[in-house]
Amino acid sequence: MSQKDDSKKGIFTQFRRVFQTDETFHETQVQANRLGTAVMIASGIILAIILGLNTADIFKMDSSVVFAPLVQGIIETAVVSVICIFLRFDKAWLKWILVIAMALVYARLDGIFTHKAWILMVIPVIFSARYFSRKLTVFASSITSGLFFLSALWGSQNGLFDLNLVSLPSGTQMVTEGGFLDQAVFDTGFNRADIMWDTIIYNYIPKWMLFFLVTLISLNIARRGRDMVLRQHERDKENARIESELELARRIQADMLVDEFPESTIENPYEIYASMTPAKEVGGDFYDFFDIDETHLGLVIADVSGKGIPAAMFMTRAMAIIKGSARPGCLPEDVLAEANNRLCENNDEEMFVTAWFGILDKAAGRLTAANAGHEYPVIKQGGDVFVQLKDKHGFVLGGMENAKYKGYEILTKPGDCIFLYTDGLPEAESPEKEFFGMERIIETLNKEPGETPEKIIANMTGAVRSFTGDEPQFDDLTMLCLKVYGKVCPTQDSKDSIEYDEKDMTNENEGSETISGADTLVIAARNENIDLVTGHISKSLKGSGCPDKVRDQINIAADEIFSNIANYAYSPGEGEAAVNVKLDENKKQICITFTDKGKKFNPFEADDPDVSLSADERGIGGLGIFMVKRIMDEVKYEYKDGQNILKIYKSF
Amino acid sequence: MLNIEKATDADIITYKLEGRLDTATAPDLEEEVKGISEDTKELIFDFKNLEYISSAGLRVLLSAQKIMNKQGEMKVINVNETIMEIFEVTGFTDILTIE
Repeated sequence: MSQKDDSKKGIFTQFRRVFQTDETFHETQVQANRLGTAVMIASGIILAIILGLNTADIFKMDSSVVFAPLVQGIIETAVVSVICIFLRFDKAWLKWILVIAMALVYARLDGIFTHKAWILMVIPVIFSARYFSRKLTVFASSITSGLFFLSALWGSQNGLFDLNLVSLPSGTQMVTEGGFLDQAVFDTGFNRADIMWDTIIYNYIPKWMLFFLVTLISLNIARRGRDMVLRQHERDKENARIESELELARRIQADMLVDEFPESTIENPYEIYASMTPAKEVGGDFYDFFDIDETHLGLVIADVSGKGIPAAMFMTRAMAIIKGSARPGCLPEDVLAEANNRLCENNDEEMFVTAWFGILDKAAGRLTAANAGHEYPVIKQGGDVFVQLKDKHGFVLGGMENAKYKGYEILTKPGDCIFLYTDGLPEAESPEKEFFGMERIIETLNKEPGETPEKIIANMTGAVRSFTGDEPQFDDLTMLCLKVYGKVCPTQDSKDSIEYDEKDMTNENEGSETISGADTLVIAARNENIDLVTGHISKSLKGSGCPDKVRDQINIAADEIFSNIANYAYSPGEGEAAVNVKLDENKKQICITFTDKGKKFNPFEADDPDVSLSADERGIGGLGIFMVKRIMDEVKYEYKDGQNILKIYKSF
Repeated sequence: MLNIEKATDADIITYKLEGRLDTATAPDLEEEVKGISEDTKELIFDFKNLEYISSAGLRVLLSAQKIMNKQGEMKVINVNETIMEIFEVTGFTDILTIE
C-alpha cells in the first residue's frame, strides 16, 4: 500500500492496524501472546502465594492495605489468561491487553512492596520486545513508567516503608510498642509529604533511569527482531520461487525425454522403453531415440558429470548436440566424435558426459554402436541369457578435442534385446552401504529374459527399489531397453516385403474404429521364433480375462499356423510372417491374422486327415491345420496381392 | 520352453515333461525318443506339468507309439483338459493309452 493511500485513510486505518497484523508477523505474534499468557498465569500464582503467606502471617504486612490489590491482581491475571487461551492467542489486540495488564499487576505489587519490587517494572518492556514492534515497546515503556510513578506515590504512604529515606531531627526518641518500625516513625510526627517527595527523588528517578536503559535495549531488540523476521520472510519467498522454478525445470526436462514408446509394427519391428528418475529435481542423465532416416533409428543413453541444475543445463546441450550430429548415413563413432568436438567448444567449466550411441538399421536388423566412456551394455543375443557386452570405451564427450571412438556391430535376431543404463543403477546403495552391482543387474534381467522392454525396466526398477529400501536415491537412475522383433524388408523390393494393410487386418464385423488392442509382430518365419509369437499373443491377452485353457488353445493354433509358414511357405528359402492380434472392444473375442508372402496355401483345400486310423497307419500331414479348425471358432483364408492371409477367431 | 526329466527304472522309462511341447521344443523330445533302447518294455509320459501340445508334439508321440508297439507298452499319464481335447479331436485317444 502506498504512502498516499495510507495518509488518506488516516486515523481510522491507523486505529485498525492495532487489530490487524501483517501476515509476516502473525506467527511471531501468536508465540508472543502465548508467552505473555504464561507470564500472566505465573504472576497470578505468585500473587496468590504472597496472599497466602501474608494470611499465614509469614509475611507481616497490613492486610487491610495489601488484600485488595492482591485479589484484584489475581482476578486480572486470571481474566486476561482466560481471554487469551479462549482466543487461542490469535488476536492482534491481545498484545495491548497483555502489556497493560502486566503493567497494572506489577505496579500494584510495587505499591505494596515499594522499593523492594521495583525491578518488576522492566518485565512488560522486555516482554513487549518479543513482538518485534517498536511501537508496542514505546507504549509498554510509557504506560509502565506512568503506572509505577503512581504506585511509588501510593506506596510511599501505604506500602513498605523505606527507612533509608527517613531523616528525623537530631535527638528524636522513638518508643515502639512492638510491631513495625515504620509505625513508630509515623508516631514521631514525621511529615508524610516529605517521604512522598523523597521516594520520587531517591527511589523512583534512579530506577527510572535504569528502566530507560532497559527500554532502549528492548527497542533495539524489537527492531533487530523485526528485521530478522522480514529478512526470513523474504528468504522464504525467494525459496518458494526457486522451488517452483525447479519444479518447472523438472517438468521441462521430463518433457524433453520421449515418453511415448512406439508399438512394434511392420515398419518398426522393435519395441523400446526407457525411464529416467533424477536424484534431485533435475538431473544430468538422459536417454533419447529418434529416426535418423526411414530405416535407421538412433539410440542414446548418457550421463552428465555432476548432479542437479548444472548437470541438467549441460544435459540439454549434450542432448541437442548428439541428436544434431546424427545424420543419415553416418556411423555411431562419427556421431560421437562430432558431438565431442562440439561439446568441447565453450566448455570452460570442463563438464563432460558419458554416452552410448547406437544406430539400429531396421532393414538389416543390424545394430551399430559406439561408447564414449559409458557403462557396458547388457545384451541378449540369440538365446535366453543376458550377458554384459564389454565394448570398447572411447573418452568421455566434452573431455578432450578430437577424441576417436570405435564402432562395433551386432547382427540381431528376432527376440534379441539390449539393456542400457547409467551408473545410478549399479551404484544404487542398500542401507548397509552395499552397491546393487553388475551381478544383480544381470541376475534380475535373466529372471525373465523374454519379457518386453517395459516389463524388463519395471522388473529392474522393482529390484533396485527393494534393494535400496528407504535409502535416499543418490544418483540419477536411467534405463533404456530395446528389443528387436525382426527386420523390415526394403520397400523398393516390394516382392519380398509383406504389404501390411491396416484395413485388411480389421475385423469386418465391427467398424475399424471400435477395434482395440491392435498389435502386429513381424518376424522371420522360423520355428525357433514360435516363442516370440506366443509371447506376443499372451501380451495382447494380458488383462483380458481370457481363461488359461483358451489361451493355450490359441497358442496351439498359432504354433500350427506359424510353423506351417516357417516350414513350407518359403521353402527352401526364408521369409517373414506378420502376426496381428486384435481383441474386440469387449475383450471377449480375439482375432489373429497371419500374413506371409510365401507360396499360396489354402488350408481349406487340404483334406482333413483320417483320424480313425491306427498308429502304425497314421501319418501326421494336415493334422496341424485340422486341429486349428477344430479348436478355433472360425478360420478364414484369403490370398490377396501375393499374400496368404489367414485369420483365426476365438471367443472366450 | 520344455523341461524333460528322464527316469529309468530297469526296463521302464518315464519322461516328465514341463512347459510346452510345441514346434520349437518337439525336436528335443524327438531326439530323446529316438535314443530309446530296444530293451525298454514300458515308456511313460507324465504330462502333469505340460501346458499344451501342438501337432509337432503329437508327431513325436506317434513315432514313440510306433516304436513301442514293437517292443512293449506306452502310456501317457496326468493329461490336462486342454491336451485331452487335442487328443480327442485328433483321434489320438484311440491310439494312445491314456491314464
